[in-house]
Amino acid sequence: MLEAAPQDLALSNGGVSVRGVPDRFVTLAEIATRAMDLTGPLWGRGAVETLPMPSEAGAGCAGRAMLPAFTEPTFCTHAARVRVDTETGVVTVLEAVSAQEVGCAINPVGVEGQMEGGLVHGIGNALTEHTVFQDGMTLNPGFLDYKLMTASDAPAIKTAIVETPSAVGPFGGRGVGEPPVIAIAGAIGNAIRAGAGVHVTRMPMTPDRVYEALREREGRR
Amino acid sequence: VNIQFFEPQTLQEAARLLQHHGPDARPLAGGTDLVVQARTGKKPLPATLVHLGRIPEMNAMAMDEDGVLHLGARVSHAEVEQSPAVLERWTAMADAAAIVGSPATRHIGTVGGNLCNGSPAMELGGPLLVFDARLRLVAPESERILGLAEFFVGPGATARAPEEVLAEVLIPPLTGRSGSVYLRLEFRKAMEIAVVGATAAVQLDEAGAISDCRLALTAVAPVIIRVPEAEAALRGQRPSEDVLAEAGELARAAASPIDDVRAPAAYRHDMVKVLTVRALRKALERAG
Repeated sequence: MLEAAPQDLALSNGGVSVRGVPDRFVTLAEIATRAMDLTGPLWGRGAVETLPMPSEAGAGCAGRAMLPAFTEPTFCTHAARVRVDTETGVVTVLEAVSAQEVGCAINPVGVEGQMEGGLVHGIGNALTEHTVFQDGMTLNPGFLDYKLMTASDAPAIKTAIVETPSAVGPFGGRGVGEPPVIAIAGAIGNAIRAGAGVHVTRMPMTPDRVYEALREREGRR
Repeated sequence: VNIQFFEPQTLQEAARLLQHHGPDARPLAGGTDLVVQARTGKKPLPATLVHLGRIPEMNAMAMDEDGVLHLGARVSHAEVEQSPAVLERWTAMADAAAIVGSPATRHIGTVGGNLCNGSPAMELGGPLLVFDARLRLVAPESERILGLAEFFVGPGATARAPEEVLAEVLIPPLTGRSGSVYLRLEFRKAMEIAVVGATAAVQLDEAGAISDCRLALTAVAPVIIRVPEAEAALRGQRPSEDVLAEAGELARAAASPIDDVRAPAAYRHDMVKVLTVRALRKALERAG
């Protein structure tokens, strides 16, 4: 696309340019689109060696023992089955599944508990939790209006522990608690799209936002 | 903070204490509004608390020979929710009492406290309004009976005079084939507060037509409101989805919700119709 030798190309600003000729630039999206026409989807592989954590950091929450594992990447996959009330926009998560790379499951029951708790927290992030500000003040400083999911809202949860030991964590362990909070929102968003046909692009996907998206779709029909 | 705390034994004594200590005194029932408001900094605790827990008649729930239910103002939501009489006859009230706050709130929070707090989002207001409940208010030297509609004055404001104690709620009997329901729009399954609520009570004649109907809307106006236009449109009609949709539309028009942290006004407006239709459907099913 740029008619230049690979060693003359530079990767920057979300695209590729020819060194010394900043005008000759194509975005990664353009490259990916072209690749689809010519050779198929772009893919690649790589590796990174995790950097050691500075020894003075991390005397806090987990102490030093867990610290090295914090820089280790962890991967997880989440799936969700939801019910969308198309008259009100209220989304109910019926079932959630989490498969997570945890390094070594030192205490498997504890690991499952963290995955389950994280998922329920993540469902709150996805559907109801947000801080509303007005003139620099928080309008919902309490748990009545900053809506976490409650125990009654927890769906049926399945967990799958994937053990790929970390080189640096204690006994090969990796951080477990935070990843399950993150990806479930994407799974819920995709489930809403699959079931109700609307893509809600703002978090949290509150009933009024889902309702608005459903109405917009009705309007387009 | 120094707070004076009184535990009167009779309604008159409670009223006299309230009168004596003036506007800085407040009656205390379950405290689930009073104390929470103070803790969150919304409203400091009053200088004088008159606790109503030692007045036996305020804790009673009984039906008189005319079938009127006397609900002592200190009766808890949990007691209402589990009362066989309420479950059988005034079902909407059981629906409402069962979803107030959390189990802890329901065990300590009271019917009287819920009403006197005057929130347009209170759960019991809608059902009590459609059941034509009346309130017995006791002052030091007198007492009066007031209809609930006259009691609700504005958000957080009621017709209770500072020296008056709400003694009991009187609920007239229901007759014929009747069914009632309270529905609340819920974003989660517990610890919810009404963003939109609808109460429907219907009565059917022998032919299955709607002989009487009452509708109330919660959290979409300065006070909980009845919707006489929709009630009139339903009376005499045979139930059908078209008839219910028309009533829902009239309810929507009667609502004047606000924008707040819980939901935008436009969304609340649309939900009034949805909740009204669903409440009517369920009430008809229960009457059937």
